[in-house]
Amino acid sequence: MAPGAGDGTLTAEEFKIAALYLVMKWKHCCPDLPEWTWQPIEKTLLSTTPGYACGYLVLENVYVGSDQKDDAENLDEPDEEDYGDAEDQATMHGDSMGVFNQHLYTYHVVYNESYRVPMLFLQGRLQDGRPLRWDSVLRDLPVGSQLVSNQSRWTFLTQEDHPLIHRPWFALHPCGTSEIMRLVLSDFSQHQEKDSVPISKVLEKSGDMSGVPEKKDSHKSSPGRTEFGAAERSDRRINSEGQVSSWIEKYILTWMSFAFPTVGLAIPSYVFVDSK
Amino acid sequence: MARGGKQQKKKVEEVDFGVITAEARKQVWSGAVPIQLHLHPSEITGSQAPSPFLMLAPRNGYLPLLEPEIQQHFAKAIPSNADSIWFDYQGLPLKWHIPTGVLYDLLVAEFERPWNLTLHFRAYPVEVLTVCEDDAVKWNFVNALKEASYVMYGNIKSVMNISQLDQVELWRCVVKGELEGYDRIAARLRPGFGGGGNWVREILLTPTCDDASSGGALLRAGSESGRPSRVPIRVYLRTVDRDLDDLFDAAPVSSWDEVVYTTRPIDLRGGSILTVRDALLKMVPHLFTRPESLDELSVKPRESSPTSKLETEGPTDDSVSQAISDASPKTADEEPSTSPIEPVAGLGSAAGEPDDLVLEGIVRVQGIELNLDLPLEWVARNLCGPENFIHLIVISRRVTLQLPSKAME
Repeated sequence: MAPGAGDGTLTAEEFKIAALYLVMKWKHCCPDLPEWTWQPIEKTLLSTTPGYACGYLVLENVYVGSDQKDDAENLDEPDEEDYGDAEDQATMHGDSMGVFNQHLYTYHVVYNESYRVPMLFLQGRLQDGRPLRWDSVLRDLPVGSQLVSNQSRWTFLTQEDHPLIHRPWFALHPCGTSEIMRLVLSDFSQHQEKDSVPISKVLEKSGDMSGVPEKKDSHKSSPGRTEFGAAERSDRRINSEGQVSSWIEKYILTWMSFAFPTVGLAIPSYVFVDSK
Repeated sequence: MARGGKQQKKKVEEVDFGVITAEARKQVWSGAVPIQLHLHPSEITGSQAPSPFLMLAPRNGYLPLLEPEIQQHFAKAIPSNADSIWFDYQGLPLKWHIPTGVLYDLLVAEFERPWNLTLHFRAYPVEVLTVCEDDAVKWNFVNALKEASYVMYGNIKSVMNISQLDQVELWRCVVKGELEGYDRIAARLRPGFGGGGNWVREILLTPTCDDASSGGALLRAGSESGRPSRVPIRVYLRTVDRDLDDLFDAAPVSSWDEVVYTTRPIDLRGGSILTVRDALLKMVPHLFTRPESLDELSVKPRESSPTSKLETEGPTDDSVSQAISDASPKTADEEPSTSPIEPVAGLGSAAGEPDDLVLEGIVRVQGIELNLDLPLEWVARNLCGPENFIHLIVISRRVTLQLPSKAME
C-alpha cells in the first residue's frame, strides 16, 4: 500500500491535527468566507480523557439559497404530513409567487469514535430561527443527493441526536467514509511523490462522488484494521514529517472535498493547492 | 497464571461459565421496567382525564415501540391532529433512541416503581428530540448494529449482507424480545461464523491451544475466531452534587445538558484481561480518586447490595446478579490477587494503571450495579443490548480533583 494511505481512518489525535490544519489553511486561502473554527469540547466530564477527541470543527452562518416558500415549513401544523404534497406545493409557490428565501446553516465536523472518521453534522434554520425539517433540508441538497436520499432514506442523510450537543441535527452517515478515504489517500500519496500535485487533481479523477457514501457495502477487499496497521501508520507519520504536508494534515480537507458537495457546500478549489 | 496443572479445573469452570452466560443473557432479554403513563393535563380533551396506563416496558426496547398498546388505552384521548407520540419524565423529554432501560437507570436515581411518565400526543419538542417517523426506530437500531459491527470487526459487511427476510425477522425478534430467534440470525453477523448452535457458547467453550500463557482461553481478543478487537460501549455520565450524602437524593435531570453520553469503544487487544474498571479508567479517569479522599466515600450505594435494586425488575434480575456474582470469581481465578468484592484491589493490568484508585460513584448496566472486576468481554457478551452495545451508566459525584495526565494513559 502506498505510504500514508493507512486504512482510511484517523485517530482522535490525528483528527485534531487535520482539523487545525484545515482551520489554518481555510483562513489563509479564503479570508472572505465564513471561518472554520476549532471548538474544544466543553462538557468537562469527558474532555479530560486522553485518547479521545477533544474538540470539533464549526462553520456557522452559511446561507443556502432556497426556492422553498417558508410557509411550507409549518412546524405548528402537523396536518401537513404528506411530504410528497409539501414538495409540489413548495415548488409551485416558489414559482408563482417568486418567493426566494435563505436558509441559515451551521456545519459541524465531529470525530466519530466508532468509525474513526470525521462525521458531518448540519443544521438549517429559517430566518426566524426555527429548525428546518428533514424534507426542507433535503430540498436544499443538490439533485444528485436527493436521488440518493430517496433510494436510501435511512443510510445516507438522517436526523440524529448530535453526539455533543444532544439536540437533533442532520448527519451524513459515516460508515462508508474510511473506504473512500483509503482509496483517495492511496492515490494521493502516489502523487505526493511528485511533491506539489494538488489533491484536487486526484479528486477530479474520482469523478462525481455525490453518490459515494452509498457504496458502503462494496468493502470487497477491505482488510480489517490490524495492530500492524496502527504501528505502521505511526512510523509513516514520522517519516513524512519532513514533507510539506502529511496525509494526516490533509485528511479532513480531502474528505470535505467529496463529503461537502453532497450537501451542496462547495469547497473553493484553491484551498487544495499547496501554498509554500 | 493458569497453566498446564490447572487445565482440568479450568475446563469445568468454562462449562459452568457457559451455562451462566446463557442464563444471564436470557434474564437480560426479559428485563422490563414497569411504567405508568399519565396523559399530560393540557392534552385532556374530555371532561374526565383518562386513567393512567400501567404497562411493562422491555429494557432493551424503545419507547415508541409501546405505541400500539398505548393507543389502545388512550384511543378516546388521541386528537385527530396528533403528532408522534412522546414522553417526558419530570419535564425532561425522553430521547427515544436510547433504550428504555438505559433511560430508567440514568434518570431515576431513587428507583421509582412504577416509573411515572407523562404521555404526549401533541407539541412534539422538535428542538430536543429527533423526529420519530415511519421506520426511524428500526433504522436507529440497524445503524447502531452496523456501528457496533464496525467497532468489533472493522467492517459492516456482515450486517450489510444480511437478507431482507432476516433483517425483518431480526427486528421482529428485537421488538418481541425473542432471544432464540435473535441469536439464530445474529450468529450470522459474526465474521467467520460456521453455522449452527449458540455462538456465545461456541466462543466461550472453544479451547485455543496457545492461550494458557496469556491467561485466558475465554477472553482473548482479535484472534482468528472472529473475536472482536474492540468493545462497543456507550457511556452515560451524570453527576450529582459533591456534598450530597446520598447519591439517591439527587435532583431530577431537568435538561439533557446535565448529562453526557457518548460512544467510547475500548480496545481489547493486548495480553491482559480487561475488567470494567480498566475500561472506566480509560474512559473517565477523572472520576477516580485516591483512597486518601476516602472520607467522603459514603458513595457506597446505601446499605443495600445490588440485589435489592433489582427488585424493580421483578424476580428475574435477581438471577442475573446471581449469575454475575457467580461468573466473577471464576474468571478472577485466571488472574492473581483478585478479590471480586473489593473493587479497589484492581487487577494490576499490564498497562500499569494505579491500583488504588476508587470510582466516586456507581455504575449500572441493565439495571444492575456492576461489580467493576467483571471482565469487560463477559459484560459485552452478556449484558449488551441487541445492537451489541454495552450501555454503561455512571452516576458520580462532581469531581473537581483531576489526575495528572500521566496516570490516565
